[in-house]
Amino acid sequence: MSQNTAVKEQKAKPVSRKDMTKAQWTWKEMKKNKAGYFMVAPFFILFFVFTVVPVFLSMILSFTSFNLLEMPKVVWLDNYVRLFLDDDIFLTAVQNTLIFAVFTGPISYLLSLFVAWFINELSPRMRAFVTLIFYAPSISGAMYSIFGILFSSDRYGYVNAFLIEYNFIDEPIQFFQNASYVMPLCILVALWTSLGVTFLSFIAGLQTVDVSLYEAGAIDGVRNRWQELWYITLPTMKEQLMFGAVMSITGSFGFGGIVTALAGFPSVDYCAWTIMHHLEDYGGQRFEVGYSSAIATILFIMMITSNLLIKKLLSKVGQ
Amino acid sequence: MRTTIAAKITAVLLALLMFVSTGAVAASTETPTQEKKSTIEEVKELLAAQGYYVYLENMKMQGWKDATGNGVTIKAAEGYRFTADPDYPDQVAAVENDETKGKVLVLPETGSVSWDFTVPETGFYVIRLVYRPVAGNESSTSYIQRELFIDGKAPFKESYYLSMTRRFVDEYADVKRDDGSQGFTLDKNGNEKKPTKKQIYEWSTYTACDSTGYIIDPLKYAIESGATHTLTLNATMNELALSEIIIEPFAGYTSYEDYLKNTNAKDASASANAPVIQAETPTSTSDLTIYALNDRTSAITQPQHASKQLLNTIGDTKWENVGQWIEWIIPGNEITESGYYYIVPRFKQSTRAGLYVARRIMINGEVPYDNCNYLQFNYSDDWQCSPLNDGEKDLKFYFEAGKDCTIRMEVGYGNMADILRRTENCLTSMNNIYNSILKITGPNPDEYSYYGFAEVIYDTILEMKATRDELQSIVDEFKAILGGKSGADIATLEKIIWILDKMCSKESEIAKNLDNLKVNSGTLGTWIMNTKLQVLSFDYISLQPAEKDAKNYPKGREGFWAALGFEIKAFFASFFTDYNSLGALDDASTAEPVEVWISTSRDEAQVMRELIDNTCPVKVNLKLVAGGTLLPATLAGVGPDISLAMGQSEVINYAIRSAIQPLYEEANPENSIAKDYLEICAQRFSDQATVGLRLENPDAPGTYIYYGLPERMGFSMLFYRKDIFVQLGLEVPQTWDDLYTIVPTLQINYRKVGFPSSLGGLMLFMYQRDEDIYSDINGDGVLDGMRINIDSFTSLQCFEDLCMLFQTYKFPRVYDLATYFRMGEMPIAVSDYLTYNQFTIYATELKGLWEFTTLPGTIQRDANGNVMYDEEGKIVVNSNAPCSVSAVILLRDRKGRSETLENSCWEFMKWWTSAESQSSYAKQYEALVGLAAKYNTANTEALKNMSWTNTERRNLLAQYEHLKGTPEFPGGYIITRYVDFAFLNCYNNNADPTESLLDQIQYINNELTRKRKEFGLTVYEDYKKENYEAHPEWFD
Repeated sequence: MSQNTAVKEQKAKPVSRKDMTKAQWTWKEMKKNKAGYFMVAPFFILFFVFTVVPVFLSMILSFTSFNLLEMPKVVWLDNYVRLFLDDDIFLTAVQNTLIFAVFTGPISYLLSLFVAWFINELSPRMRAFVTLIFYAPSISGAMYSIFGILFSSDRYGYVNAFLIEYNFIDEPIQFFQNASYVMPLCILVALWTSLGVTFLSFIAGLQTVDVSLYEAGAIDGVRNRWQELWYITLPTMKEQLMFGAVMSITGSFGFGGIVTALAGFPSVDYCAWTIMHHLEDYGGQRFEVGYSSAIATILFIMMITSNLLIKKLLSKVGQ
Repeated sequence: MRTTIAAKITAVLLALLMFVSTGAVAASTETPTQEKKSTIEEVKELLAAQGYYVYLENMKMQGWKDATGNGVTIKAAEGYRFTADPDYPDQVAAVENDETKGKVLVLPETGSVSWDFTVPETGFYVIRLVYRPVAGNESSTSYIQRELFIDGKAPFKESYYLSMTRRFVDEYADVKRDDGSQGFTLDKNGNEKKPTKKQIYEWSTYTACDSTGYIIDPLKYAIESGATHTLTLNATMNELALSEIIIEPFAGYTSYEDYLKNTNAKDASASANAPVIQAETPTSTSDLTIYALNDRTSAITQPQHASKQLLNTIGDTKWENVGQWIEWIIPGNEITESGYYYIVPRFKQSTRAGLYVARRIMINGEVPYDNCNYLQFNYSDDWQCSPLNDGEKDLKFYFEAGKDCTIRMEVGYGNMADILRRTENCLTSMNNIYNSILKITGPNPDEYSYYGFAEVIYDTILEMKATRDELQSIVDEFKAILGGKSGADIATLEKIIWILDKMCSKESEIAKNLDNLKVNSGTLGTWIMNTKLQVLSFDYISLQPAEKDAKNYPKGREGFWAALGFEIKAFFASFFTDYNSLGALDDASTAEPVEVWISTSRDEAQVMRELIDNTCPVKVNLKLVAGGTLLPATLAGVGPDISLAMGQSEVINYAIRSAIQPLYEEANPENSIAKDYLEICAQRFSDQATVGLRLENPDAPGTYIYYGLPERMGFSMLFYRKDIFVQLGLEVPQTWDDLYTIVPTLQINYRKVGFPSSLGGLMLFMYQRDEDIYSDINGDGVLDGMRINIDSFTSLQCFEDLCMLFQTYKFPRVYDLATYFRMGEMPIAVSDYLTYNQFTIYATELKGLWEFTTLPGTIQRDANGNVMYDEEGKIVVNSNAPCSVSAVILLRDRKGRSETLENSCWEFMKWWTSAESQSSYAKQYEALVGLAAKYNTANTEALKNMSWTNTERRNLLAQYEHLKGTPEFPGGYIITRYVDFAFLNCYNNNADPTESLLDQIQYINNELTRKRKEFGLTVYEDYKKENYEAHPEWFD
């Protein structure tokens, strides 16, 4: 009923789009919806000043040599040339970032989805409890430091003490200072902590699916749970899937803080060095902000690209 | 294949090492080890010394009794024999004429002095010293410490640690509060400022007692009549003037009943005046650090203000350690009637839940009766007001009308003293038990093995049983004190009883619970440490006539409405008060203030503010900022003039980006801001302190530009457990070869050595062979920073040595030093000298059983590998330690700074790094962090003046002579990283050290070159091109 009146009102508008330029039209529309713009303004101003502007600033800075304390000097493409042709460690970083991205991105994404799907089958009370258990690691900030204690390099670290006790080893293993252990351990921790927001949004998405759709599906010939999932559940929760995907992409490309906390900065032989680390190293430690802006720009482009890719992929869901 | 090669190399290395070390050991017996041996001897004596109670029991069993009658008095200035310390032969005793005491003996801070005496009667005597601290050395504010020997021997352990307090008074300004009481000066925000404290040198009488406070009564010495005895005072800390020594009998304190009988007075009538004295204005205190504080937790604390900070209480954590006292005078004119009064303080004890905090009260210099030693202040999270009591009854005191009366409140442990003493003994036993089991099983025993404990360490099993029984009786007594309640305190003890019980009941449980025992020793240590803290605050002290009804006493807590009103007022006042500015005194002068930023804790900043107000010659605007604010602020052009405590690499980072104003240019001294920079540094700091704060002048090669003034300096020293070294029969290593020879003994006994890995360890070895981190291509003595020098032959050898320690000797790379050291698992470790703070506070039960000394040195060899000798035929040993500093810097002002202001800035920097300022700051810092906490000042004079014992100071200064600073160059951060990679490669994969290090060299050099290019400095390749033809030998 109310929908109808709204439609009528719109149709009753006397002004025609053809009469004015695009700018005039936009301005008119803005004036008409000024309440909306007014309400979005506080967030938009903050977002623009503190997110959009810095992104563009950083892109501009990436063409300069800038040490924070003196005026930047324009060097055009030097930073990018050096980044791709004369920086072995950056290539290591890209490689590691992609490895982490694969694990904390798609793998953790699918894991989240399936865990959410399974949990959704539980009774409501049980579901709330299990959800908390899975979600807890990601809300309690520095929980991953428990791994630092478990895998401490001291002979009294839990794992070392256990292995020494049962005579597997004589000397403590330097878990987070030994290139052969750092990467697998970090991936383990990354997986453990990545079941966060994505997972929660999937649970929420699963709850919103209308039960009548399943009944309709059953009548229309859905034969098993997989079909149900693919043709009914997932298409209905596309928004949540998209949200989860964006979150896990940003998460996986920006991965680094946990590695620093566990394996130190830098990790031994740069074995778990990610683009994030490279960025911090040049921006924070070496005061080469121009160069680190170039790194940031590359990271930004990687994220945008994969975002678009994911969008494409998700549009295939249910087809 | 690789492993066999590695094994071969290791074998060859080992063989070489054995060859070298045997030679070296044979040779090193010639080196002077006299001094260190004597300390080991001392420890042996100390370990053998019995406790006071054992001594007293033994003597009583032999039929000794308290002496009666009169004692003897020795005039200190007559018939003394002084023996100077061989290290300080010019410090001798001197007789002086004192106005009040006539001839007195002034003793230096080293050496020992003896007198002969006889006593009229055989029996127990106490020894009293009439002393005063010695004026002149204003900077020494710590207690005076002596060892007391009778006939050349300390009869019991406690006699090694006599400690005499000093006396400090506040210098009050002539300000009265509204109620007419003594007030304080106000700063420009209207807050009251702490008055400065001054030490006064008055005579007082010290009775030899236990400095740990575990023994309430004075110490009794058994002395025989007839024979001539000698009494010796051996100096451990600070100077002392002595007038006489009184040796007299002591029968114990008067009982409360006798006191009442002896004074034989009436209760003061209810109408008598009830004097109130504000506790925040004491007449004197034992420590510089006990001062008036601001309390905002109660509306009726006197005085109180909703927005201003008034100093209205005293005590709190500043008055928590045994022996610290505060004195107040109750003016005679306010006591209108003679008779009994209750002393009713308004106090707060909110730290020891379920327990009480103890004090001892002395009136006019004496403990009136026994119960005064056991005052109890019970727990409440609010302020309380109740008469002084001993836990059972409120105590009456006799006061005479019209007579001034001095009240002294001293921190003691009361009834807890004995419990604490015995618990600490139990802790020592537990550590012994752990150590003797450790010797057999190692730190990770196999619980299924049969070790045969009953045969091998039967004594230990007996000790376990004894300790368990002792702890059980402590718990019983504790419960009695707490009135049958059991709480967290008891749970700690009961858990240990349970573990010990298991361990001594079944032999198979010993190995299983070893780790448990270790963890719980740690817990018990912390428990003792916490229980010893006797935190108590006083608001005021009142005398209430004994007849007055307790209902009419002042109230401890305000009413609900008063509290609400105060909170509301305070809440609204908070909108108008600037809590961040550290208020300066109202200053009328119009001089432009120097803006100084500090990013330490608020307390430390406050201390600094006070110092500035009191002694700084220039006007200063001090701001407390969050760490990391400096960079953005400098970027935005709103940075300060001066920033404090900047790490040396940070200084250079800022300097090469021209964010710092150079202080001194060697090539151009006239135009420098600090023309006297070099003299100042030469006077005040180690010559190595400025090495990390300078850069080579690109316009005048071979000369430096200096960027900061050193403020703090850190370096490593060797910490070792004397008791374990004695047990294992080891000597403290003087050289690395000495260390290599004792490592097997240590390892057989499952002990470890703590040594810095990676770059820290490498630098240590390199500096001891006079090798630099950076290259000096043209050999002019000025490092150029173009290349790294860790690929030189000597450096590679150093790295091999370092890796050998970890690969062959299996030194641990990661360890928790405090715990390992305390448990004796790591009896020797190289660590920053400030670890001293941690050990002193954390492991009180180890007092006297550990010390720090100079690092083991490297025996110097000539080009042929032969040991080098000096003119006296001694082996040349280099015991350099790397040091690093943090500095005060002057930031570049883009808008331009006036010359006057620039001069003021330099004045401020000079003032802050001066010996006086640094000493005062160090003292106040001790007050903040804890009694034994040291501040690592870079000022040599101030470092010496801190309250070290003589041995500590000697060792510290010996290492101080052998420091080597590390220069900073663009790109230096990369070195740590790659050296760590190389080291870890050797450590984890047993790789060849030389190979792994050489692998990383090119990366380091590339980064150095890149950074130099960025700053337009000469890089190696260009330099080589220019100079190769002229000097090909530079580039070999």
